[in-house]
Amino acid sequence: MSLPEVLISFILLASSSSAALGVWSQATATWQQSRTLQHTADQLELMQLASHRWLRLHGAERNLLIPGLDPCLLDASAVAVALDQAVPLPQGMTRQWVVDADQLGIWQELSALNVDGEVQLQRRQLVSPAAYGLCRS
Amino acid sequence: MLLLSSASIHTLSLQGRLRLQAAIERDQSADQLRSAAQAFTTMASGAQACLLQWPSVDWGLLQNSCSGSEPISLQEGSVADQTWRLLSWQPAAGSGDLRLALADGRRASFRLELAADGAQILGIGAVQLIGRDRSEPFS
Repeated sequence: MSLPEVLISFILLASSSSAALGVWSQATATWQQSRTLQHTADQLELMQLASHRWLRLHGAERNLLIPGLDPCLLDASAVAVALDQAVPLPQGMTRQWVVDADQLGIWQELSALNVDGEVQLQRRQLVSPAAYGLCRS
Repeated sequence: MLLLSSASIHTLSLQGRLRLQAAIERDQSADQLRSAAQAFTTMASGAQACLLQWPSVDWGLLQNSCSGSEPISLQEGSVADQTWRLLSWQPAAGSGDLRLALADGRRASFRLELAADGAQILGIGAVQLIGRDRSEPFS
């Protein structure tokens, strides 16, 4: 093998190795991001399920309704206090309770924040007291 | 060879990312259907609660049995920006099967726990997505 051939082979090997390393590191970054996002999505789902489970098992033990309304409606502040105690959120997650404009219930808004405090992922679901047997007729 | 194997790994990681994105969209879709079911439970209280004792196909025949009830209020509604429609309600002993669709055809079923008299909802089960029906869009 002549010297020019050796040089060309070396250059080809070096450039393809460098490109492969770049692609590899990009793949690793994508995989890591997906893993983090999956973990966040799982945590949001868990929090949502835990809230429903608590409402179902313990909702009737606390005074969570606004008195005198028909159809009955959850008191967003009371629910927030009760759930913050019963189902505390992991770090980097926030929960808001918003009254539905049509009084169909209250919205649980669970948000996962990134390191800059921006919303990375959000779950939003209506919660009606009637779904948990809290509106005794 | 090295470059090809790295490209393959990159493709796999991108596919994983796409699958995750689809799963997140599926979760958010489930949230909308769960919200519609929760709205149904709100509407199915008071005068309408009586209707829960019968299958939805019979609601039009129950004027005497459920006086004051308005079946139409349980047959469709809207929650946030989403319109929902009742596909069917089928009660059984202690529970009932609720099937709902959103305006874009996404559908789901829920098992509702009922009181002994069959006229009060006590709990709502997990959402069971049953696919999208594109053939019957509604406004």
